[in-house]
Amino acid sequence: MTGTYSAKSQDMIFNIDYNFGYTTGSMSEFISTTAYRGGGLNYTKFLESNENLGVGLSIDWDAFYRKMPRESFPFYSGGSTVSNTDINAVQFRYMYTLPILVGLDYYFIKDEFFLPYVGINVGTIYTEQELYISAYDNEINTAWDLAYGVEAGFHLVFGESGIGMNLIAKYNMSSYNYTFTNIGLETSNPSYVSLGVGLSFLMMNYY
Amino acid sequence: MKISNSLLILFMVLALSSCYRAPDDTVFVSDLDMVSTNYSSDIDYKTEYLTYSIADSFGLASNVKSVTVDDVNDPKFRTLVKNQLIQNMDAYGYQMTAATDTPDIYIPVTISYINTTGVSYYPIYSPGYGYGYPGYGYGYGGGYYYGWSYIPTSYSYDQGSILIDWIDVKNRKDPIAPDTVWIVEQVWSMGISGLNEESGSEDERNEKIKKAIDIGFNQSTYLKK
Repeated sequence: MTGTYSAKSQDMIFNIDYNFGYTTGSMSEFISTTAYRGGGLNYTKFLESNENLGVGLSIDWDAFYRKMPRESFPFYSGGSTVSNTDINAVQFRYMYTLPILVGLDYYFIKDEFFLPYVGINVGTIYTEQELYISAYDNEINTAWDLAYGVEAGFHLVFGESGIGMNLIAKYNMSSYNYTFTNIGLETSNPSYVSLGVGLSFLMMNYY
Repeated sequence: MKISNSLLILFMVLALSSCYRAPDDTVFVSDLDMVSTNYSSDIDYKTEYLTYSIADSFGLASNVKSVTVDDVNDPKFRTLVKNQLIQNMDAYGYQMTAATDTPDIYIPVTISYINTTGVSYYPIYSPGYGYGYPGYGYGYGGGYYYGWSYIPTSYSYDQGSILIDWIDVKNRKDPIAPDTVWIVEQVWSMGISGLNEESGSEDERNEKIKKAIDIGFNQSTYLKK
């Protein structure tokens, strides 16, 4: 194998990913199914002072969707906590997340074609949560909240091309909180794992 | 290798923008059907009421001139709905009686056919709002009011609904004046609504209605004796 990369200042990595989303915690009570629609952009720039450390900026999109089986459930009218109505209907649930995060990444290996790393992130997240009950009721909530999380992954570079692939797992949490009063379901501090697979573009100096 | 940053970003934005909405590719018209039942928490139905009677003819609430009272009183359709109601009422331990024998519960059935930009209904309960009930006989004509009113919300569908009510005859209040009617309240209601489907046979439609009436009772186990 000829040619090795060495992360130096001005060195940077771009990557674009296709995301799979897996809900955890209270978010999985709202939607328990895997999200197959999503994507992410990441940019990492390495520090001059420590070549193993990079600062990153990322933007991700995960679209969660679940069509609930037809069932009977209590319906709470007008924000009341007492139900005098039961409804048999199909619920369509959506949750879209758009985290925009800055991060600090630590790369374990800097001189190889295999670049594994771990990182921590903080930033903001746009959340859109939607509930449709047959042709009866619908409610949409959107919010910007504080977001934070951790990530781990690796880039695998193809020869000397500077192009490679990556696999990145991000665990995102947010301060989002919303209750659909009509079905009495609260989503509080939702969290999910976003698994990205995609292309990496490494702009690094050769030795 | 050097890559043009602007070109790279453009490529990424294009790839990402295709991921916005989840397509509604798994929504069927039947998914939009709904059965709602409304009740009062203050009433112990199973001990309060025993006998019932179902209205002879069905009411119509429609904004379509081509749909007439005769249409919704088609004998086959009426028998289908009534038989399914009787079956469920009997299974829950209630006894059918003639309307003239003053039942505990009188059950009017109203068909709603709305063909505006589409309507669905939020049931809102307005307590104490009675409707006219004649002191003698059951002159149940048009122009009565529900204790429950339905607040329409806009959808672009043709929607048909079957509204089944329990009118509390047992606890009726005396007429305010000698020539006026008894004051009664609605104590339970079932609303079945679905979108008008051009396709589908009459048998399929009838099965759907029977099943919906069963669902309405199945989710109202508090009625069962």
